[in-house]
Amino acid sequence: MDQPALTRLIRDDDCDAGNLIPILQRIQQLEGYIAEHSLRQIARLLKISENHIYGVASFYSQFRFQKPGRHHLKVCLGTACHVQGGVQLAQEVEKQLSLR
Amino acid sequence: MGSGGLIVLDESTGMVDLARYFLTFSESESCGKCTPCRVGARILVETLEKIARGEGEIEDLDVLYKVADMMQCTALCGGSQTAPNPVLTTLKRFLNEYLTHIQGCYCPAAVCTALFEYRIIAKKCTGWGRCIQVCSSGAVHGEKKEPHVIDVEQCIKCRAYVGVYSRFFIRE
Repeated sequence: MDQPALTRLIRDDDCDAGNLIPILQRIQQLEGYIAEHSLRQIARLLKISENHIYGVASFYSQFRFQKPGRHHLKVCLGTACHVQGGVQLAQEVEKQLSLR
Repeated sequence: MGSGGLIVLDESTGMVDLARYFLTFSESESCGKCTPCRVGARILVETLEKIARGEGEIEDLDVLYKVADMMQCTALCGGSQTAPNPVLTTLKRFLNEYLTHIQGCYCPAAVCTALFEYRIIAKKCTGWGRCIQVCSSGAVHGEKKEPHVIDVEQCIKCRAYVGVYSRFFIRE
């Protein structure tokens, strides 16, 4: 997302610090992650510190700070899948796809 | 408010691993505000992981009891006060399983991967080959109708094999 589009997105929601989370959610939805330049732009327009925004965003697992990959693989690790070897399967997937 | 669920598990479930699993959830869900939960949950997880790796000592059980009791008495919220429940109830009902992990360095449920391995008893193997199909790490080798062999180094102990052959599974 370029600078003007990002500015418009933030201004659409009113430049009110109370709208921080909805703004972050919109950016996360459109770009897949919260980039550093997005953080800086939000800080500038909402007149709050980057530190504060990072503190809020990093508390929630919804917000990612790295560009996502093209293909997403999910391995369920809920109770039933755990007792059926879910962890071992996830580790083997990571090993075979050289993900770690 | 909230929800209640009933989970039914059979004898192939490792109770030490189960307690560890539920505590890792509590640890990651901890808000971090109070020390009993923030640090206590971490200590419980680390101690249970140590036991699951085969490095457990009998004193670790004392640590589990003390930290669990501390969390129940001093944590600020109901979530952390009840977080140690899986540890306390598994210690109460399955203490022998903890002792086998610590003193025998063996996981009777064949769950803690450091504490067991799968082997095929050659004279009982009919060479059906279904195990090769379900094995995700290519650890099983053998020709059809010939006894198969598990490469212990490759085996990730994922239990897919157990699912196919559960009727023939022997714990030694």
